[in-house]
Amino acid sequence: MNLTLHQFRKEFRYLRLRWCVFLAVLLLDLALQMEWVLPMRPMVGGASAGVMVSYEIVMRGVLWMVVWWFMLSVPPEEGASGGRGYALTRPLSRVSYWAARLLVWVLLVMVPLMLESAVYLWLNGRPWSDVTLGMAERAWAAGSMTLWLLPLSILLRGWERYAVIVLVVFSMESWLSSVLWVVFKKLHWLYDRPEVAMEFGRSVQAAWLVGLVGLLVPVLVLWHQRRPFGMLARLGTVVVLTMLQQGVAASSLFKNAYEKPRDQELISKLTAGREIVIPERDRHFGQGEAPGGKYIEFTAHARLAGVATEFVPRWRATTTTMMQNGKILPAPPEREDHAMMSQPLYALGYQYRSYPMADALPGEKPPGLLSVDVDATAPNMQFRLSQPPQLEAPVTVHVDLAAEWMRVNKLGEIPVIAGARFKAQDFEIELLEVKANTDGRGDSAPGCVAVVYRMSARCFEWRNTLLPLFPHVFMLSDKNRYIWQFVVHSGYEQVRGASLGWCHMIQQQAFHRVLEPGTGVTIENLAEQRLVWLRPEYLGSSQHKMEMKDLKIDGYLLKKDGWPRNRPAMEAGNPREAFLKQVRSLPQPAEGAARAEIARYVAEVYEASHVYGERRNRGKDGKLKWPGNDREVCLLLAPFLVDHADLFKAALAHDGADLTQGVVHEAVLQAGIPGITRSAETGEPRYEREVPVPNKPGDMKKRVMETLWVASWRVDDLDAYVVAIRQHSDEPLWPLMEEKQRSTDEVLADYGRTLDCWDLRWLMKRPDLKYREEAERLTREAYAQLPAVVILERGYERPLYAAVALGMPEALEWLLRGAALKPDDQVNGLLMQHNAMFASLEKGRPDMQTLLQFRQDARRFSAKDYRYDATKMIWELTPERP
Amino acid sequence: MNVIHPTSFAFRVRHQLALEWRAQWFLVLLWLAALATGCWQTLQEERPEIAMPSFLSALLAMIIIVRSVRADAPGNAEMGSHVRPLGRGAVWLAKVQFFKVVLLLPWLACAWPECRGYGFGPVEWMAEIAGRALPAVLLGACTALSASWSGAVWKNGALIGSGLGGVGLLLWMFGTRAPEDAERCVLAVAEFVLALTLLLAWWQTTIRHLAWMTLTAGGMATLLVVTMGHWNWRAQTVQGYVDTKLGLHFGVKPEGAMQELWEGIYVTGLPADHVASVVAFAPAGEAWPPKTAFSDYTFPVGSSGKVNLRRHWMMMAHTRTLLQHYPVGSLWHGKEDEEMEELRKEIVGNDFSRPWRMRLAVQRMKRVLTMPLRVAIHGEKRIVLDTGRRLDFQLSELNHESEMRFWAMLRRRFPMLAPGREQERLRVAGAFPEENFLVLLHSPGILEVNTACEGDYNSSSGNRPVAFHFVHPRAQMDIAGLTFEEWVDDTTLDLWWPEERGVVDVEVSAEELRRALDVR
Repeated sequence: MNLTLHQFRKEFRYLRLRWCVFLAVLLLDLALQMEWVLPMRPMVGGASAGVMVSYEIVMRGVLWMVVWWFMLSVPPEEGASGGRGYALTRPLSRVSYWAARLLVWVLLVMVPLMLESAVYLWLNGRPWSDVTLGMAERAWAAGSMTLWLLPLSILLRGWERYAVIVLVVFSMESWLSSVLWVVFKKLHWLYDRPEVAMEFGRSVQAAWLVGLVGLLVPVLVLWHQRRPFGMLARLGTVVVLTMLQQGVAASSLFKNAYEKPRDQELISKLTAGREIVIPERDRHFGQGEAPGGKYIEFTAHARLAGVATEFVPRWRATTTTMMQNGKILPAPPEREDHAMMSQPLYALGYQYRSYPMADALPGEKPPGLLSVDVDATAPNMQFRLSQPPQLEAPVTVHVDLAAEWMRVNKLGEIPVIAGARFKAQDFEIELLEVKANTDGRGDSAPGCVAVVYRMSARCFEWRNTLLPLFPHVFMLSDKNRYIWQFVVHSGYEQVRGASLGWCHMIQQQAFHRVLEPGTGVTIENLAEQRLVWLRPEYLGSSQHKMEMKDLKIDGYLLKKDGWPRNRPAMEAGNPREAFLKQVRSLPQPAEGAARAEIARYVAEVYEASHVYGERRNRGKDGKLKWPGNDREVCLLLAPFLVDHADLFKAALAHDGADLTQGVVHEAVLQAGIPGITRSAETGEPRYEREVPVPNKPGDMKKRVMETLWVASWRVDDLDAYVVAIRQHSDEPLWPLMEEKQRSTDEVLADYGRTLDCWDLRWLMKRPDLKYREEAERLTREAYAQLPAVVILERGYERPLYAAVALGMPEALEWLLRGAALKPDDQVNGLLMQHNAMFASLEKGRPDMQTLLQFRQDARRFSAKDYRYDATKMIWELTPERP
Repeated sequence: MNVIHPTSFAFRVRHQLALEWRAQWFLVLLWLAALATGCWQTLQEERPEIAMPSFLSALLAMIIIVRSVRADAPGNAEMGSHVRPLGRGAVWLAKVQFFKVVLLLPWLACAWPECRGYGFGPVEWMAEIAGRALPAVLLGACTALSASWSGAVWKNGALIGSGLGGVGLLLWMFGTRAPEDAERCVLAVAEFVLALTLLLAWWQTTIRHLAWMTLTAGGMATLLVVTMGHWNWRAQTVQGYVDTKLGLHFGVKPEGAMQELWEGIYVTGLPADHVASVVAFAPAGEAWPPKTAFSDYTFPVGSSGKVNLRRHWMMMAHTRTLLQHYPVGSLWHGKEDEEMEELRKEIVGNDFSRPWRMRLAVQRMKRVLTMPLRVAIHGEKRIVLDTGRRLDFQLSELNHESEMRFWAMLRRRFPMLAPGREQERLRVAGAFPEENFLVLLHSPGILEVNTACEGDYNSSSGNRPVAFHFVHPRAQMDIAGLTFEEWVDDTTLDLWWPEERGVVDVEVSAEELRRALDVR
């Protein structure tokens, strides 16, 4: 022991100056982590401030370089440069020598590092249990970073030590590491690169394994003492060891501690035997091409029937099989990030922005809580399928799916007041600034609220509040029952203390559409709102099977609702005039021209009509923005209608019928069909005539058709007009005037698909109770599946309208809140909401003034201020309300 | 004491060069391989899965320098460098030549594959070479000096301390942000001074002279350059547009060729293919042009008094200029250019009490590419738009909901030491406007000109992803039975680039302004 102490004292005498440098750097590190120097400040310009590196990362690099330099330093005669003579003849046993080296490592390196952790945690007011844990973790982590260097002083001489330091620092992202990465991937051992700043457990375990447990370093040193390596071999050895450590850390040898499911049993029970539901509107197919060939990308928003909304799934395909004409098609090229995407933690990353937290918020929450600014139908399922040789032929797809399930926990909350604080055992928040009507980047953004806060959290490897996914902040308005979750990070995230078990960070986030009319939140009452921090937890995964039969992919690739949007590229003025000018400039086919020429001409006119579609837009007052009509164009096309009706039928299916109807009108007027005259009011043809009643000789009946409708969903009606024009007779038009009554079952079936308010009102008036009950059941079921988002996306709003028409007050409340948020220039879009409440379309289209008043009422009143008239199935303001 | 050498200086240098090669050939080949790999990697769109670390070639070069210099370092007693018959001057020069040939020249040669295809002229190439050589020489000289001088612990400590001090000084002076243009120029001069100092110091240490004076003087000079230097040769002055015919017309639309800025204000006298954009329109005053002026290039951010640059500043007028190049009667559709009539009205209001001033930027629409669509949809295409700007594009989807989608990347590469580009003469609200261009499909068979709808892009610095797409002629396909293949065969893809021709300020009297507004 005496000899060991003697050797230690000798080494200490040699190392004392270097030790002082190390202590100084350690002190500087502590000062930086404690923010005594270079304290964190909110970035004035946000992300645009152009910060390139973090002081913490720079400091960490410097600290470890100094530690390694210190570890590699030995008295000259003891090191590799001193030759082997001294080492062989020194009057000291190897055991004593290495015990002294270990003492140097423990006392001069590990103890100061552990003390730094202890002092840091103590100064931050952490409990003794955390201080102890912090010291233990530091010993565990720092030991793995330094102990393997202990024998290297014998391996490396002179400047090679510095080269090694540089090599180790820079090899964090290196070619050899990439090689291992690829090897692991090919062997399906690939895991994920460790998040060095926060999650170093795997790196540490790998370092212990490679460096010491694997005994690689001692073996190499022993080998070197017998058969000395050359310089490149010595340096290369260190690099290879580091690479090996990196690769092993990224392999599946060590699992991420945070990935362990919290409650797999619950998920297994919850998901067993349930069916995957993907509404038709949420299925999307696209074509793509990758180095491995062409593929079809399938994206969808899927849920599991009957699972509560607080459980959030993210889907991925484990295997896909596509069959066409009885043959299995070759597998599609694999995504490059396939391995990454199959990690549960990766899958959970999407939740914050894409899932309405109003549904997922844990604990007691205001009834009727709705999310603002969230895309509730963002895809949560995405995978590649084979590209079938015939896109138009049906295919059958079998998919094995895995779903990762998440749930959020509340960490804490504070009022939206600068200076507000929240303190829990392992999580602290201080709100530094609240900025109204700014986006946090210094730019004005009406309605936006930016908050700058300082977050502190426990971040031990074994007890971590920040992993696997960072807590996220949401703004909650209890009184108005809104939660804002679409956040924009507008500042660089500055972090301190991430490797010491208690980290601080300053973040800046902006919430949009907060201070808008209709939300109930104003600058004055902003302090009454709350900021809530939520943290997700991974519950477990479930496996499912899905089949898509007789799928015709080409139908999905084409735009389903009409031709793709198109706009004029040159004319900014009156689109009606521009359209006419364009059509006039086209060479019109002569009489008796070839069909191809006529077809091309008709297509050119329709294309122009589509491009100048803006001419049909209406202003806030409901009147045409660009008054006039397309009569001249229709007159140009009318001569071709009878002989080339198929061209117009083809156009009708896509163009929304506006132009085709005009062409038909002009053609029937020109044909001199009995009973058809031009209306003095509208200028369009109308039909009115006394005609004999079939099978009742002598009886006459008056037939009236105020508008000769042509609709894109009834293309075959065009044939009746063509025959009428050809025969100069009104008789072929009669079937169009006879309203074909749908049976109650047909209406119910239609209602099940469309949830149309008109059908609902009709069904609820049927005397047969079973139809009423079924309609009500369908309505309530569809309503219950709505995402808790105040403004529903197109296609999702119908269940809400139907529920309102059915008399559900909670649905009315939802509808009114959505209507209240409509800005002035979108009031036109409240037509269907108005109809759902007042059945207004049965009496004619409400004018702009009515809709503006409706929006005003929605801002002033709630569902309580209305009463439901069950007979008429409409809502009325209670008499005591003006 | 003068030493008489039996052989010529040139012979001794050649001899030492051969010695260097024999000692370092393996590392040199390794370095060349690493350099070639690194060069290949930079040309790849995505970092290869097995990527070579970018620092490896620099590290190898430094190892070569260290090995070479240490082999004949004055402090290396084993080598007896002081008594070698070659002479220290010859040894030093041979090493410099060796580093130049095996390290510097290959490094500079990498500029060729990396920068070709960007339309560089002699000035740009020279600036690129200088820009690559300067940091390389600085690093090499620093490494050589360190290797030559290091040895004792205190020396090594001093070297590390100097290095850390230098980094600290830079951090203190420039923070952690990227340097501005002007700072880059100053830093380039500072690098030059420092590189010369280090080279000189290395030479002095090699011939046993003390280099303290040189290092001190060079260090002081470098510091002076950094703190007091005010060079900025990158800044470009605003180029005036000289054409006396150009004028503004107010009131009723004039006859003949003109460009309508807004209803009531017309630009006359523009040559064919030329378009004017409003850089600023504001009351005439001393601080001209004010940042908050109305501009085609900017939009105000709320009422904060700030403006942001618009991504798309090209207006329909730019498209309209191209009319003469395509058949009369063609249907022009696709890209939706935003007109800013409302915004202009809001800014101008009814302020007729004082004269206004308008700054116009004149561009010439230049066709830089015309190519059959059939060719364009196969493989990647690389088109030089302007010096230092290249558009790489390739088809990404033939049919996505009846749209043909192209992936594109606007690549910018310009030597940091070269004067600013012509396009950078124009500054709006203190910043360079975004590059805009127009891609269109011309299908004479169906009388259509389909301009591209530009998709999202992410950033305005560095390379800019620019997706664009064209809608299929669905009406022709659904009504006239046009097939996709027929459409592709009948169509050509054209790319138009607005070339800056200069700016011109025009005074607008209150009376003229009133006349323009009265038209409405």
